[in-house]
Amino acid sequence: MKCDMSRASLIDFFYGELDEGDRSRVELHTQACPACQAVLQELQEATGVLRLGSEEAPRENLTFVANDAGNLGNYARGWWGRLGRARLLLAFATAFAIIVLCLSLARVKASYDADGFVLTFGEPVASEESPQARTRVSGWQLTRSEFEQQRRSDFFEIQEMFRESEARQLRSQQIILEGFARDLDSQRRQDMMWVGRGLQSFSHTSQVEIDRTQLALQELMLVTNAQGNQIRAIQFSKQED
Amino acid sequence: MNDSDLVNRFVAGDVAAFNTLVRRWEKTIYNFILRYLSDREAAQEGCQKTFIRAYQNLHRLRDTDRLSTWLHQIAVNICKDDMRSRSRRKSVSLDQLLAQSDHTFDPATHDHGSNPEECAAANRVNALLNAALQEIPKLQRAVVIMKEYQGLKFSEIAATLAISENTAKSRMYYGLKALRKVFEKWEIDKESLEI
Repeated sequence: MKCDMSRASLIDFFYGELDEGDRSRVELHTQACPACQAVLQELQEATGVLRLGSEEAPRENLTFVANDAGNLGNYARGWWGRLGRARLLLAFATAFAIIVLCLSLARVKASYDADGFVLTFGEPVASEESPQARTRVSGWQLTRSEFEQQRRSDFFEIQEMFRESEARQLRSQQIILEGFARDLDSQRRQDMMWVGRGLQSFSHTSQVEIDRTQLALQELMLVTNAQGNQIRAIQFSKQED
Repeated sequence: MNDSDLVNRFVAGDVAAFNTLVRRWEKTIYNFILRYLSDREAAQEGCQKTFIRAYQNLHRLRDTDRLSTWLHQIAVNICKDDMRSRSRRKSVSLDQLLAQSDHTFDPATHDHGSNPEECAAANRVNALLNAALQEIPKLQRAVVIMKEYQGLKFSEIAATLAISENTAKSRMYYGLKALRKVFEKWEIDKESLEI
């Protein structure tokens, strides 16, 4: 489709589902738009063939469902209706469960003694701690408060152990670092000494070599002069001959 | 008595009201499934399943005026289940389908009077159209059937398939274009099929 008309509008127009205003607008457009006319022609051709189809009736009658009147009545009443007499039992069970849940949430304690039947609500008072409330921990009989105190002191002790361990670790690290620094310093001093000796040895060795070279040169000069004299003497004697 | 009244009476315990609803809607639903699946046995079974499911759940239908949409929703779901359950759907040629339509001809199931020739011809046309519908994508097929054969509005189709109205119109457009191509390929038109 090469125009602005939407497919939805064309489909609505084709099936007559537009209001009067939109229908006139689309009608005017399609009269002037060959692309839309072609689309409508295609839709017309497809539906023209489709509408030749006719309805068939199912071969079997489905009214069998309605013959089961009892079941229909039950289904009409929904799941609660289908429960029948079980509804009463279910209601009692639900109510009982709710009451038990409420009582457990309210921490209700029921007792019967010489004073009669007594109902207690809420937490028991700490001072009225009975021997049955004592907790057995590692073979010792402790009250709850003693047990709590013991736990607190254990906690502090463990904290102290941790602190001591950390301090020990810090100390040992410090000792290692100091030793390392000392080693580095002594190594540095030794290196400096070796460098100094090396330099001194180099300067000393050079002076000796220079002196030795000068001596050698002087001896060489003497020898050379002596040989020169001898050569000149020989030449002079030959000339005289 | 309209559908809404019948639903209310059924929910109130009048079991005969459901029977009336079944008689009123079974043909429509049967034909929808028949065109969707192109299989009479599956359509018969699907129609039964649709009304059994409706019978079990009708008390949950809040808006009783939407019974048509609701029944079509159930039918569409049953068709989808049926298509899923057929892992290897039999491939049947057009000639086989037409031969089957002749063989299974039953005048009692047609609206073309008692003329056997007209009934046979109508049977062949229906088989041909149902076969053509199988050639287009199932999403478009559902919309085309609902619009052309069930006479639903686009708003109702959109509600049944849980899609937007524009999507329904778009599927209709492409569905009809695809069908026209199938008709061209099979060299059938309105004139050649008219009884």
